Amino acid sequence: MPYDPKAMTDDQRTWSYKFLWLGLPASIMLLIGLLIDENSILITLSAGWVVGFFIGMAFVFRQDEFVQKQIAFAANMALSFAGIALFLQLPKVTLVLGEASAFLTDPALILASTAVVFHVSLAFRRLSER
Amino acid sequence: MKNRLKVLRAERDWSQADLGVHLDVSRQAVNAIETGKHDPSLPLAFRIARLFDMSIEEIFDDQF
Repeated sequence: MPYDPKAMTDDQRTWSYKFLWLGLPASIMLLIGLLIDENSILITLSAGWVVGFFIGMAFVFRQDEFVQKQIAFAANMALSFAGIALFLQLPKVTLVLGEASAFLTDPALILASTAVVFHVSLAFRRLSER
Repeated sequence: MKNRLKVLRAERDWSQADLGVHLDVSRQAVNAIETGKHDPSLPLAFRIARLFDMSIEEIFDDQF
């Protein structure tokens, strides 16, 4: 195996693996914050975690294949949810849904919901593979 | 997939974390492979085989 000076140590791997758990409460807090009060400090704090986490996904290749597989599963679920949300944006669908479409077409709520779906899926996969 | 990883690791008195360091994967990944919840990729299977100086077929069994 070639030497990689940027390879993660065992401690770094364990720490980053445990750090992934924080995304779940943060994404739920963000969704609740958006539903309750859009100016809440809750949103600022939780959005920081959620946004930082998703930007950090660009470096997921540094994780080992087991973690990458779990993240890929969660990403698939989140993408499926995004597909459903996109479908609900179609003009004819929003006409059928009526007032309910207001919630379903709010971009911030959809993104926060997508984050919740991602983290719930990730938690489900991690717990089932323990 | 059934495998002999736990036995081979125990013979060398290695912890899961020790084996993880040798294979450049996390302790959680070693645990998932040992319990059959994660099938390693081909490159990782080769690394495991080389580490124990055995063939992949001697370590992993896909008949179960």
